[in-house]
Amino acid sequence: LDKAEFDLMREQLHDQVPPDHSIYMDVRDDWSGLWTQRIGEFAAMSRLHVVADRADADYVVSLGRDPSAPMGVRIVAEAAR
Amino acid sequence: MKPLIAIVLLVAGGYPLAFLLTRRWLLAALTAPLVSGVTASLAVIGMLATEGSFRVWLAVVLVAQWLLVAWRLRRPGSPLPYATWADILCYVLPLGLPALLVLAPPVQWDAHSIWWTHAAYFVQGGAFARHDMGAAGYFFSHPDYPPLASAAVAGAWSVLPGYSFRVAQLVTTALNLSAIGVLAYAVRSVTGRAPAALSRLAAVAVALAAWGTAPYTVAGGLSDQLWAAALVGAAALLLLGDQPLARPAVPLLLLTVAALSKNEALTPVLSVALLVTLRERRNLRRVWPVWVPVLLGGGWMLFARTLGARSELTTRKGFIGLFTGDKAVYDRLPPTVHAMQSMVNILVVTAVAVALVGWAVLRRQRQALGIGSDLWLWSIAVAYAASLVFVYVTATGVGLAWYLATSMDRVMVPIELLACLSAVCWAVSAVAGRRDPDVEHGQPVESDQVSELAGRAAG
Repeated sequence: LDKAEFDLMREQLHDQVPPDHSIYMDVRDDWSGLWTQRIGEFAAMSRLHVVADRADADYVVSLGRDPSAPMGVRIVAEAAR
Repeated sequence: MKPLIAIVLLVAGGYPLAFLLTRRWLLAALTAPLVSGVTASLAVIGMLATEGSFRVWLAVVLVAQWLLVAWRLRRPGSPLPYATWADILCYVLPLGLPALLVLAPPVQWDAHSIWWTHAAYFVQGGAFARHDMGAAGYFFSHPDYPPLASAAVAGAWSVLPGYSFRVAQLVTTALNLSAIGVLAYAVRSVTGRAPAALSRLAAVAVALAAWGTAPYTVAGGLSDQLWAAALVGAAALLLLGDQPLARPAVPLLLLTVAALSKNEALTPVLSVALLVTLRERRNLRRVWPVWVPVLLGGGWMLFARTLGARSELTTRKGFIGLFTGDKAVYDRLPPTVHAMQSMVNILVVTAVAVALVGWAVLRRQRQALGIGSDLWLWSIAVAYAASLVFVYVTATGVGLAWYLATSMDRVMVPIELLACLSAVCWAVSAVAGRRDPDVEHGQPVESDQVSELAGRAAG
């Protein structure tokens, strides 16, 4: 990711999940840890807690396919309950 | 514009106390980012302990610092030697070219995954940060790492909202350059009885070595040079310097910076404290301050553990396996040693050879220059290397090949700096001893010292 892509992905998370909520990262096949670590960083900046158990989350964050987005994906957040 | 404002704030925040410690305008500016870093670290510790607001704690600690300065500045103090404008330019200008690497984009993996992630949760306040430090989802981020670099970035982000990565990169780079610049000052101080040009050249040579094995980290947002330069600067002043406890403020600041910057600094910080205690064993009543950084670094480790902070590297299995002869642990030893050798073998072998030749033929010249024993430096290097081997073989939670490939160049920086400092001190002894017969009689030739004595006599 370059700097502009970092900023874009951070804004995608910030725009979809209001502060002081918890997120569960449903990111599969993340062998390098790229998305787990970046979303963890962006979550702290957006005042969101990352939880390990889906049942504890307010939102589930995953990666949606988007050919026009950085690395072909965009951050998608959906209410967990 | 924001990054430049952040640098001004970083210098301004620590400047009053830096001036009190040095009584030099320019040296204070060089040292101020480190003072700001320690100040922000204390704010983070207070915030975590009370679950309070980072902004409030930062304001409280800054005001307390400035009140202390206002009270103490009324007492007379003498300026530190070797900090004329010519000296400071000699320390700073040669660092300008490699520092241009700061123009690279702020995308280094560990800068984001470790230092700026911690800064982000520090900004959110004590309760939020305590939760994240203990959360399993952040163990990749080593939340147990000491707070200094992240605290400084959090301070900048608190004043300049928006979590700019460029701001974070410049603040971290300023901290690294400050430590490297003060390391140059330390080398200049311990070689101060040599001719000024030679002493300044020695200072610059050691400082530039900070870019040796991992040049991308100095301006990339990482903190390896921060603690390495601070530690080696403290070791130089406390173990090679003449009368190190006469003006201990700068070396103690450097030792504190090292202890509060990274976990692997704790062993060498402890080594320095032990060696200074040994060196000054006839002066034990004045030695106790060197143990304060050890207590701060050790205290942070214990405090972070109580908050649930753990790293994915440390495993009980690896630690126990070391003592039970676990083959999986001991199989990690040869590749670890090989990786260490591949980074610094030629440098260390050359420096050891120079040290042996120096010990054989240059001891008198070194003594006349007032430079302490070289064995102190090598003792720190051996203790640190042993601690690294311990960490790599017991960190069975991660694959060794990946771990070595992603970190060995950075963790070797202290060894590289210690080896360079050793070789440079012998080189100064050789050249100064040959060129200046006054040195044989231990007479200082530094004009700064003359002006300092004149100042003391006048005031």
